Amino acid sequence: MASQPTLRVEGLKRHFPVTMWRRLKRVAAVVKAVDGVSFDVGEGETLALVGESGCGKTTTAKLILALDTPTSGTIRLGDTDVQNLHGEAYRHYREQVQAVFQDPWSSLNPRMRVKEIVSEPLVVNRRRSRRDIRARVAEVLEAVGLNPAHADRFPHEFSGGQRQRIALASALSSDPKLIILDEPVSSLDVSIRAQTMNLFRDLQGQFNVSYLLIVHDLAVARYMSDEVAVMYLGKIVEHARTEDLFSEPLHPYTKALFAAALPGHPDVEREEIVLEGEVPSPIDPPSGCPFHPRCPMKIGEICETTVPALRTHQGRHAVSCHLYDDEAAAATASAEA
Amino acid sequence: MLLEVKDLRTYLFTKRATVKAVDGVSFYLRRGETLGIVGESGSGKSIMALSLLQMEPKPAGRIVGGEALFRGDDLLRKSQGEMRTIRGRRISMILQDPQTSLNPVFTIGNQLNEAFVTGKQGLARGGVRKAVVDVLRKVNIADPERRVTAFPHQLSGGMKQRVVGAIAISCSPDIVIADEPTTSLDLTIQAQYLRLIKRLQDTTGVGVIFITHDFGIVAKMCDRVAVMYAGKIVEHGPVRSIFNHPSHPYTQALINSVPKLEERTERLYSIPGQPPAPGQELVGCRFAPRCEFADERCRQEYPPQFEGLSRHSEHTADCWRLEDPTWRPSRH
Repeated sequence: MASQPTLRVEGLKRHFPVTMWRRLKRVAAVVKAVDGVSFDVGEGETLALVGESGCGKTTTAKLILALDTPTSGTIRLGDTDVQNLHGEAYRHYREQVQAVFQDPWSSLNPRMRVKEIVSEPLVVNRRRSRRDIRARVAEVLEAVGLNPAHADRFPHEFSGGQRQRIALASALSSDPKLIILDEPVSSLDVSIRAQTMNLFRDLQGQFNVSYLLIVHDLAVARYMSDEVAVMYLGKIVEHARTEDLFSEPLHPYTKALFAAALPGHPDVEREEIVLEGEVPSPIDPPSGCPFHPRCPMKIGEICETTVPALRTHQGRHAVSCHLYDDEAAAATASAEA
Repeated sequence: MLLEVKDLRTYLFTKRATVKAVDGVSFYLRRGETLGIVGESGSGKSIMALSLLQMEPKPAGRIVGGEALFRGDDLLRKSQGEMRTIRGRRISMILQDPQTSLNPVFTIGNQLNEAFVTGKQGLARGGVRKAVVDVLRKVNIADPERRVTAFPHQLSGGMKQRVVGAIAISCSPDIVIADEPTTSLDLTIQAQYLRLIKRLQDTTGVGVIFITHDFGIVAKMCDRVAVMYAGKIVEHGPVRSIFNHPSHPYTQALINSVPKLEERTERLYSIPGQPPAPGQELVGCRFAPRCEFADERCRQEYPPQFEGLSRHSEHTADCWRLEDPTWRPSRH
């Protein structure tokens, strides 16, 4: 394992105050969008954040992109602490962390030419000569499989898959350490998804960049990532190496997600776990374990009263569930002995 | 046979070009059966479904040929007045986005009332109200007596889609056409919804046409599947036959290009190129430009339909390669 991770997130929280209409200053409630999340992204590795809408994946991404300020917790890229970055250091950070979004129809400015879109991360920092910029644009366009001669065209002249390649070229142009991929293939057609995913994987090796992949499709997470963290209501409930998680999911929510995922073949028989109800509102999350009202494996009162800690179970497989309390305690004891 | 579509053609006439959105599509549906229609965007699957109810996007869209026999009656030759007695009552639709298929200024009770009143005669006032609550209960809406007064914005996405489902089944139709009904739903909510559709089908025997781009939904829900590419059905057959012995290169490529949850995939097969642009003049096999097996004949002449693949009489595919019996899959 790499000595120092590219990105280290510790105890990250983002709470949004909800104010009342008549009493503007009074905080009526707090939405805990991200509530104490910690993870590392290793150099040249991919971490997938998996979860349903409203679980805080996108808020986490915004915090890492420095588009929003955390309520508490730290985000470190290498040796830089993201908080209190100003001026040159801030610009440098934004160069190091880039993003590719879900919908390439709305993420690319229709009035900019491809070369302008791709070179934007370079131009903003005004440190390179025009010739350098032109060479770099051609280089990254070629890397993503587009013809550098098309650099003068506008986004509308390209198909969805090609637009996503333009977005990736733009993200790669400033030679970043980390790229956040927010549902990068879910708006693409099935036959285009595979080529795009293969391209993302190939370029990761070539440019030695880390990915933070935000995705709801478990099969995509399995194909693209080295590690997976499953989020539910602002918390990570399970975190493990991809193969460990897929061979033995531990948390009841992860198990339910697996059961709900669509099969790859009509003969695939899955354990039938259909969760009743919907994800509760993060304004008033359930006490104790946030998953307890929907959990089919609830043990009892402890689930309603005590928040389970995210504890390591068997090596590097972390899970936050009271079902594994005894094993985790035993593991800690034997490690101490 | 509940529905038999023969050589349906719907073209879109625009200033620049004539787009053959649906270009000679034939399929059938039996009572209580689920047919999956799989295709990418632009393959013509939605326009095909709309054409069955004479709702193709007018004025550009026009049905130029074929027939759609519903219990022996041709739907395509009916007047708008006659169609009005069929839409919703005999054949209903569930669309992709519940946000846009419900009217935001009416309560859901109001909208269900409308479905009952226009759809069925002979229900007294109190009867309609009871029927509304009953159908909401059927689609697993908790506390339906209270929910009838709710507006769409007060419900979550999954609940709204269940209300749309309730409207679709309110007149006990013979066929429900579901056009990507779960793409806007979360994973666990999608599982709930698919289970609900299956249960309703078991209890009512309604025939379902599932339009989707996702082979996973087909694997979970469908009895038979038709694969569409550029306005044509290129392969059709029972779902197991298709998964075990895909015979058209496009079907094979599609199945191989989807990552699997059950096993580690080293490298996904990726289909080169892109689907043809609408309006592009096409001769020969539509998939030929992206097909690794294509030869000159594929580019010149559309292949005939080969039947009885994988020793299953219903399994058909349009591909020249199947002329050679060694390419035809046989059941192991």
